Amino acid sequence: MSAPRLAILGTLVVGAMTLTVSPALADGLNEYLEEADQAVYSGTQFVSTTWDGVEAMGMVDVRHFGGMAMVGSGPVYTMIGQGKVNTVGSPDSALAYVPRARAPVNHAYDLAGAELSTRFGRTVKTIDIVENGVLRVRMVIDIATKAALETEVFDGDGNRFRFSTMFEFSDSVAGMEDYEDDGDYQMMLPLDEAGVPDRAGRYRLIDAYGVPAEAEHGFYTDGLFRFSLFAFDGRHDVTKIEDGHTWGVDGFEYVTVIRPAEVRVLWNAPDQTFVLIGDLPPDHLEEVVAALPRPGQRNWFARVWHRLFG
Amino acid sequence: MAGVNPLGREELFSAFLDGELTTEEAEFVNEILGGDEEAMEEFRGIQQVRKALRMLPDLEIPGWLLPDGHLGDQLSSYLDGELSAAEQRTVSDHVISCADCRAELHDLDRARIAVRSLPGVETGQFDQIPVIPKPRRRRAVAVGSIGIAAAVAVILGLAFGSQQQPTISLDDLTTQHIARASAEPGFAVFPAGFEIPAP
Repeated sequence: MSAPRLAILGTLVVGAMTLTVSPALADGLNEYLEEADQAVYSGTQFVSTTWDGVEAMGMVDVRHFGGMAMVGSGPVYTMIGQGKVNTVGSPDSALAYVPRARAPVNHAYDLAGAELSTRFGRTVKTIDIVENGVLRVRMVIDIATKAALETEVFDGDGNRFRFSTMFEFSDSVAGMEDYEDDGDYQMMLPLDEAGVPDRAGRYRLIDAYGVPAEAEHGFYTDGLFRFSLFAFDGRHDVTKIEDGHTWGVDGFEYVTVIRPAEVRVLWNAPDQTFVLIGDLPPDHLEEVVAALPRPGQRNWFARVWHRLFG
Repeated sequence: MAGVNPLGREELFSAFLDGELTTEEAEFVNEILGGDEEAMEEFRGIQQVRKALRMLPDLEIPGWLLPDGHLGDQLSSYLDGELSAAEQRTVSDHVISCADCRAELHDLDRARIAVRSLPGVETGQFDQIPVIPKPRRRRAVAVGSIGIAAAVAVILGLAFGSQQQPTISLDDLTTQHIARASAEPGFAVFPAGFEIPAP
């Protein structure tokens, strides 16, 4: 699967909760999620992220059917869902992740507001998810299809940093009903023992997967937001990443790449290179990187020793 | 519509929608649909029925219907991506809770990987992630065999020189993140490749 083609992908959480939180939230969201995965709709989606003065925006055609999203149009498009990514029309292999468990929730969110209004001539419901009184996510959900027509995500100060909206929306998916999944999948199975940390701040490791090049992939979530941590043995030059920006946390420097639906963070610890990719709010991300190995160099003696004796 | 009775027409339309017709037969169907409103109506009806069938809720297969409560041959189909979305979900849910099937899936996958690693066989997508070179082991006696000044220069050069690798494919890593994240319920996706330049 080539890098340029896969550069088209990003994710936006519109609510991923198997929650052990207040009954009102769990009831409403569980009901929504069960139906949202089977929602049938299509449209043009716009997403933007503003982070530390950097803005990234994207717009794409999406069709959602049978728990899968068809992203893009034309002969080459990507199918995403149920742990799988398959770029159809590409001779490259596809990926399928086997989860060990559904994500538990270790952090309480509360549901607030459920106003009815109309959008695209359709009845919609606005749902707020608050964390300790701070608005985190506001979703406008189409009542009939349970699709999220608009999603706003806020940082700890109440500032919106991510925004997604459907420019066009339809409750039909012309052309997708004949899709047949013929992907030659590379299966990713969870490891029995993980080398990546089992916690990062409020986020719990849900699954870890081995990947070549002496790397490991950990998948974390708090039930609402989520990220992947890739840990590589050795050091890579993270400063040469295209569109990279320096981001400081507690006096340590990280390299960030802002994408419309996610943020990528890269850094070198003394003996490892880390890449974090996720949709966390900035304050959550600060907490997470503070709980992971910090950026740093080997000391002088260690560098000499490593060079001489491996 | 000459020469095609309604019953045969229905089968023909179904085969057309299933992509089972030859080019000539498909052209024949196009001709029928182009000149007969009644046939067009029938065709739309078949399309609607097929769409409705696809939208039926997925029913979970009860464990007692599975052989020995396990998935057996379905695991191979699962690994080969040959299952329908509903079947895939059933298998995923079962594998999560069944250690035996998980272990069997591991074994099957190892066998697949072994086959894929044979010379001349496609090895997958991860070749873009650079393998990090191990520092070459050097003989300590070499240090003692050169002059002190040269040794210091070599050591300083080694200590401050760069052996970093410049490339990690962030797009591939992002794809892996997306794939895993999509196993969780309730997410929406969008491609960022059609980005609008920031004002």
